[in-house]
Amino acid sequence: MSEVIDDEGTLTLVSNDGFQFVLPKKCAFASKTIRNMFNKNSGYIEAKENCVKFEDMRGAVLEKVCEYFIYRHKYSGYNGQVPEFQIPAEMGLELLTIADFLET
Amino acid sequence: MLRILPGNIEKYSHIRQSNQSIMSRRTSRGSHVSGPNSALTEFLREKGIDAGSIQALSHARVRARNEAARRRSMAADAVAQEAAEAAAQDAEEAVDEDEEVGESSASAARRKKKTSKDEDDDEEMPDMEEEEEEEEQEEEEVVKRKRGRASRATTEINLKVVGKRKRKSTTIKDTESEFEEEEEEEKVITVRATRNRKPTKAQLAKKKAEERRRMDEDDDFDPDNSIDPAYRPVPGQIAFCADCECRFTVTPYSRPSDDGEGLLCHPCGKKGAPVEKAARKKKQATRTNKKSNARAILDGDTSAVKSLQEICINTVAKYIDDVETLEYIGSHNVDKISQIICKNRRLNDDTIRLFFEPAEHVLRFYDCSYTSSNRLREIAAFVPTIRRLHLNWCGLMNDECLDYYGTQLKQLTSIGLYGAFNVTEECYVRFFQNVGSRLTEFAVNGTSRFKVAAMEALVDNCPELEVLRLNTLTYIDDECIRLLTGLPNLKILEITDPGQTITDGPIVDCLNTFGPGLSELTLNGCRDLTDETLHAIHSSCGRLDILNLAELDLITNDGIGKLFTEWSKNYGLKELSLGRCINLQSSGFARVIDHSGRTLEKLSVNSCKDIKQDAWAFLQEFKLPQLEALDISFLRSVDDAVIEGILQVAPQLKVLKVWGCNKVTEACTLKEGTLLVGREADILA
Repeated sequence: MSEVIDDEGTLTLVSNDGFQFVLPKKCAFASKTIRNMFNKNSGYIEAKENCVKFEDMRGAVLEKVCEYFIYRHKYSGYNGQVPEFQIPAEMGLELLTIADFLET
Repeated sequence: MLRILPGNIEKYSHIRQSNQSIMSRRTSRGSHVSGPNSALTEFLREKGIDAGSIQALSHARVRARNEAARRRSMAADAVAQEAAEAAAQDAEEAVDEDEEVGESSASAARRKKKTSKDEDDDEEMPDMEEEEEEEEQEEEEVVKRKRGRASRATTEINLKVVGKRKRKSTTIKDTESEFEEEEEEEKVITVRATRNRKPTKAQLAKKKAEERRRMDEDDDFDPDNSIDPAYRPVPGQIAFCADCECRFTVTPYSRPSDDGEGLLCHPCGKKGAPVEKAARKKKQATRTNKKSNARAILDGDTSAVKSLQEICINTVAKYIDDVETLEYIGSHNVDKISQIICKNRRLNDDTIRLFFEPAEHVLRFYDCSYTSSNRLREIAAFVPTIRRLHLNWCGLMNDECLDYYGTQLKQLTSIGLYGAFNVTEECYVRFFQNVGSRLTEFAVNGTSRFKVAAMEALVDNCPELEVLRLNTLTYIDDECIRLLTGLPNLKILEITDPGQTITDGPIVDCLNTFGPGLSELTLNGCRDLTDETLHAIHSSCGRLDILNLAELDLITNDGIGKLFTEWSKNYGLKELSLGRCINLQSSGFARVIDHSGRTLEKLSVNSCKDIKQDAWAFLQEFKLPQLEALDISFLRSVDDAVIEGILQVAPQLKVLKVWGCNKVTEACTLKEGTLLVGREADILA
């Protein structure tokens, strides 16, 4: 199964409490899970609607995840000193399980 | 290139001289000293050292030093004259460079020979020269250096002609020494003609390495080769700086001047040092950079940005002491977080403390390789209520830790120790005595210290044992297995890849004892088992759900057929592995499907190459309603039609492994929800 992925344009990530985050596909594809969703060959409905709803993510956590996507997109391939990505301690474990789910 | 210059004449005369001195050394070496033999004299004679040669050597050295000094003053006069001569010659040569090759037939021939030689052993050349060079008497060295300087102008022209053969030289640092090299080359050829001694490859390599080390390590002092050790002023001596001509005391760290003409005083020597140091540092930095880059590529990580998981783990590790901040994760999440942290190989003395939650009943750590024995021991101190403990790769665990578990964990019923190779047999015995009949589940793997005595203690002290997994133990043999007959309650038995041979007899005895109660039997890799074992399984194991017999290459097709024929005692297996049971044929496979087809959830017939087309035709008449995973890798008879047929009869199939089935193509139609693993077309695309 070959990959047919269009990484132009934007997509929307929706948290379980209704927050919507619009960000470039290129950034969001840092997550392998999201990237696979947008593989046209696997035929997920998300690929057609350009929108992913995460039923088990709070808005605050999803915001952090989006921040990470942007951070990663900005600094990947950058040779200098990369600033540290800050995570509030109380979010650490919750974010860890979500990061595992998103494969990022 | 051979020109009649004063230097040249001197040079060749010295080669003659050196040859003579070598000859004389040889003859003196041959003289036998008679007299009482002490160990020392014996040793000296063995090494070819005697009083005569030592004396001769020291004489030669003193003479050489005097002569060198004398010649230096002479040469100073000659330099001016030579320079004039050289300049004149330059002009001549510049006009007709072509003629230069034919200038001297002897030197041309020599050069040709040299060129061809260079092509042969281009890389060895510089080292050979060094070797030879060292062997030379020092006066040659001095003269050569002088000549090199004096006729620099001429050699420059020659380089244009010779320049075609580019030499890879490791030692040359500046252009000047390159000129010297040119001179040396010529000389070396002549010397080689007279002294037919070639250094071996090993010697060369050693020398090269030594040279490199010296270049790398020496921080302040680089004993440049251009200064001959004998000519070098002794530390403590007064000398004049070659650069600023001031008076200074020679130290072992005095640097030679750039042109090799004497030493530099401390301030002059210091000038060049920072540049070298900086260069060396830069070199080192690039080396480490390269290393980390290579590591990143191997890890599949091409960006400098850490993954979100890694950042999260770092954060968790940072605030590990602050339990309130991290919030309680909830028991159902404990195992998940443990899995994620272990998957990232980040379970260590710090992160493991996250899981020290009192009143926890189950703890599983999947990778304890970075966790010290003391920390593992603390599990028992912080979580005394633990019932099931599973430790994978706990290679650092020691006796003290397991002893502590034995006495401290009062509710422990199940323990799995994978890779605890440091724990001794006596400790296992003590542990079983302490835990006693509480223990219902025990798994051990990857150790050479679990032997008969430990097994005996296990059987004697833990009669309630229901699950026993013995995986890759070096000293598990028939005697150990026979002891298992003392465990009547056993429900799950696994013996995988034993280090010793295990034969049918003890296994049959065991099956006769606890066979009727067994729900899972794994005998992977017990290669000496035959059809007798299958017969015992047939007659006693009525409740068996899971049967793994991978890599039993002695069991026959008939044996497997008989096991599954009229096995009414058993209602059907859920899992069956016959991978690499290479005698299995279509008829045996048909019997398996006939008996267990309705119930099978997992089936592996990996590498059973004799399962042919007729087996697949037979399969079409059946339904495999429960089948979720099927491994038919390395079965040459499998093609697209077979795959499509299997997908029809097995509606629940989720994973289908087809490694090495090269007839399966991309054209094969797949079903939604079924994963085809190992198709050649996918891998090569």
